[in-house]
Amino acid sequence: MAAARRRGAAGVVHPQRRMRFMLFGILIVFSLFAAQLVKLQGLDAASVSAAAIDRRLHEVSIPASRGVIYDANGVALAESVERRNITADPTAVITYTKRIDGERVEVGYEGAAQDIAEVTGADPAVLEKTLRDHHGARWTWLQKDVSPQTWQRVKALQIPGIYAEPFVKRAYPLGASMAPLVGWVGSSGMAANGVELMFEEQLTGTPGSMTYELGGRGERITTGKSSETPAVPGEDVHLTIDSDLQWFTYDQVKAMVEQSGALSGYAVVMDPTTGDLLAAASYPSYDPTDDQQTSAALRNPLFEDVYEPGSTNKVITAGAALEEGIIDLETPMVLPNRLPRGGTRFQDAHDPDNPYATFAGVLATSSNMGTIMYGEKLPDEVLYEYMRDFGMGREANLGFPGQSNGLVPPPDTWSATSKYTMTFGQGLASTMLQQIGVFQTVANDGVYVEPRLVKGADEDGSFVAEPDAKEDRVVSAETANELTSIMEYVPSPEGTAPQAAVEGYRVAGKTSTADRYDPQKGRYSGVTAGFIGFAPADDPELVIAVAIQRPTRGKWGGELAGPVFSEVMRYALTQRGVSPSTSEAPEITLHYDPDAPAPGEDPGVTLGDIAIRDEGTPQQ
Amino acid sequence: MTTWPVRRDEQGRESVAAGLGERLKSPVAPYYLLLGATALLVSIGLVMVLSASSVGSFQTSGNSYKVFTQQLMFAGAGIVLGLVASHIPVRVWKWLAPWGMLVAIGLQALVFTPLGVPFQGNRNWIAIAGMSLQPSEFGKVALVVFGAAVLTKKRKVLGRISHVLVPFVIPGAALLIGLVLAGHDLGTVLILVAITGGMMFGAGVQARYFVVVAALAAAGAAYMAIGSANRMERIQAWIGNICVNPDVQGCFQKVHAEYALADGGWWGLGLGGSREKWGLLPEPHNDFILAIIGEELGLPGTLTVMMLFVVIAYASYRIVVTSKDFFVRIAACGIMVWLVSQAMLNIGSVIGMLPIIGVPLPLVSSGGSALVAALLGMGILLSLARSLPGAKASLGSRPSLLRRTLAVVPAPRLRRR
Repeated sequence: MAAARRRGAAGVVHPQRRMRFMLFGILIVFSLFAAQLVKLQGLDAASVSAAAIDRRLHEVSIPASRGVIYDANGVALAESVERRNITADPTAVITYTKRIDGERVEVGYEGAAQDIAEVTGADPAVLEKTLRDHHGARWTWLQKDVSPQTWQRVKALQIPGIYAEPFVKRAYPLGASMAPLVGWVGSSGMAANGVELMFEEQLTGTPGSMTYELGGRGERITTGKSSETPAVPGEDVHLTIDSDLQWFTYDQVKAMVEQSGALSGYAVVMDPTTGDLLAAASYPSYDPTDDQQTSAALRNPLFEDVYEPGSTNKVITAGAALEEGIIDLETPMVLPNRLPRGGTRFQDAHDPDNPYATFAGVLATSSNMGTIMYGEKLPDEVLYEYMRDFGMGREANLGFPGQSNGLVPPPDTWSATSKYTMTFGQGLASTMLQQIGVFQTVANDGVYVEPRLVKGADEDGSFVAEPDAKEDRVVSAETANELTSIMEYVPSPEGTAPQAAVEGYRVAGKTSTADRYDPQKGRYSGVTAGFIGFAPADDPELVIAVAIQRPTRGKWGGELAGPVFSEVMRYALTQRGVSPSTSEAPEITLHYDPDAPAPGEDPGVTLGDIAIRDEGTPQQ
Repeated sequence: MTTWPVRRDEQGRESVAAGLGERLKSPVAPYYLLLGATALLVSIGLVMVLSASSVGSFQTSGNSYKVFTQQLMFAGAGIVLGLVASHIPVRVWKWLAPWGMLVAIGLQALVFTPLGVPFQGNRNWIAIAGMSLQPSEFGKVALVVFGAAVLTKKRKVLGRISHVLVPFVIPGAALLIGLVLAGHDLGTVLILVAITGGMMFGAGVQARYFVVVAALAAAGAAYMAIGSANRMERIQAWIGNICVNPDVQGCFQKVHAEYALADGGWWGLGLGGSREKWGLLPEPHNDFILAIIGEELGLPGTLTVMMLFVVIAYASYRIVVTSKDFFVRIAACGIMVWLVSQAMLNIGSVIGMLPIIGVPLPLVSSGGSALVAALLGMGILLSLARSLPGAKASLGSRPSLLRRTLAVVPAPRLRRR
């Protein structure tokens, strides 16, 4: 300081010294700053930068498009389509001005509603009301679910405050005829029942994800890090269903359910050699375009309902008896009016006109008495095994959601009457799919084939076929042919279901009118009127099963299910180009003369003498 | 003249360092150092303002160049003004000093008239003919010139504190600072106080006064800080070690600045590559432009900017040391204190060594008034540099830039004949 005072004013330091002091201070401060910068940008940078990137990174899920469900011919039964919901900002819409005759006029809500309605086909009054109700609000739905093309035309109107939000909707082009089978995916994207649920995993695909750095206003930082895992779209599923046939079948069932005042009805068309389901229609159905569905409506009774097979089971009993050599077609029988077994007196719906019936006659006329009389000769285990082999009570391995296994009680649980009732189809329960299996086996020369609903799926762009269905020989081809020849009598003019006949084709089938167990009432109430058959009988191409549940007008399987069977069979045969039958149905003997001599016996022995007659409960 | 001055040592080898030292001793060295540092800072500033503001500009106006073109316009005006100022003789500045101060105080007072425009809670802008202007920026220039002129007049009596204070501090500086304080622009107040104090310190006023004032100021600051939740929060964010992430109250800007600097790392993400300018770091082209410079240009970028301010400080020091004119010394000191203290407050805020005060980085940050005023300040500093003994002669003996440039063009044949 002393040196600085050498000049001029007392108590004043020379600026040169002060300036040197300040420069020194500045250098110290900037050195500290530089050290801090080295720390921030160099030494600590890695961890801080990682935290910074972590905060900026955002992951967005890329939805995977759901696979398409096709029918056998490649017709889409369910597909995902892009749709738009039109939204509005009423505070902007009200300023809508148009040039009318060269003058600018503010047309507001009314004008906007009219112009939009003209494009979308909506009611302009409804649109205008929506806008007025939300006056002052900044956002409202205006019209939901329009096509992207419609939205483009609405957008072109350039009405202020009209926007759209995209969404993907599951479309079902064939509507109600397919609905219970194909299933339903609502706005939540969750599958509800049907094939949609059955193949949920394959159809859904794997959503991808996109990771990128996000700026403060939610925009993507173009120079930032980004990575993308593309979504894997769901696989397409190809069904065995023929959508034309399905539609026709649905229409026929629907008409019959309405005509007979029934609770419900369903029909299945199957290829007997492959087990492919060509149609599986049920009514009532639901409209898949509705936003919401009830679980009751979504239920598919065709796969879920179990009911007593009734006369259908007689085919199993007959097949078993023929195969085991207990009887042959012309085995004479004497039918009693009452048959006491297991503490019960069994009887037919009406007493037989002619008690002298052959085995063929017993099956053709669906006699319960006759069926018990030859069926009781089968050991319990054997009868049970045949029922299982024909598909009754078999595990439902089709995979259809809610598909029932049915219920065939094993012999050790049988009551005193179980065996007798089972021979003619009571005391056990099965689904329609299991019942059609019996006829498929007969139609396929005695070989049971598991039903198949899916032909294959498109995996990674190439079609992968499902393996052929499992096959199981149940009875010999001869037995099958014998059963067929008897069943050809059923749709004949003299049989129980002449309405089931198809002009020009040989048809074999069986009616069934089973008492229907009502789970709500807890007792038998009403009937299940059914008919199952196949054609052409000489070389079966198609098996069709029809069931009408709890009809209120009419009762018999032949009169209710028969006409549906006939119509669907006629349509399906001609559609598939099956040539009409050239041969006649074989003559079968239904009755016999008890006084005629029995062939192969001693002279004087008549057919009446050797006939199977009620000789009391057989001892095993 | 343009050959590199080389001093040969005994072995006859050239010593570059020695040559550089020789060159720095030249009377024109401060002039060229200032000219170069200013040109570089303004250039870096323009490029970085464009980069940092492009995203925000596009989002608000649809034009990425909106902020940049304005800044370019102001830079053009500022450069013209600065060049003119650099050619104004020192005596004219002396003469202008009181009038400038009066105009500055008058403009600052206009802030409280209907012409004033409030901005972000501060009242320090006025709007004239569609242009908005921050008079306090020009107040800094006026204060420096006024202070230098007054202290020069009072040179003989600077030993007495009453003469030091009147009329420089009271009423001059006090009035201006009071008006700015009334507009709640704390950052500018700090700069104006620094200029006032720095000039008095540079003029040689006894150190004990500064010790007393510094003690009083520290006590006052502590009292004010404890009395205000907002200020305590800022201090907590500064030295409380609480800023673990940007969501902590009061840490958003500080942590995002750290993120930007860390993203840049040693060598930067490259020009235009900043992530934090995407609406994350507030004021990326303004108070926090250094963070974006660090993010895009890395440590070389930030250190270069700091180095250029050191160059300005060194050049100013050379003016003070070389000049014989007391006015020139005090004015150079004042302008240096202004620019360097403002740069320190800004950089310190950005790198977390100071609480966030909110002053722009001189010559670099976006902002028209600040840039024009800073360029005017640099113009005055250049004018002071030109007045150094020997400088005028050196500069005057040089052919003009235009003539030197044209000298490389072949002469027309006409002349040879």
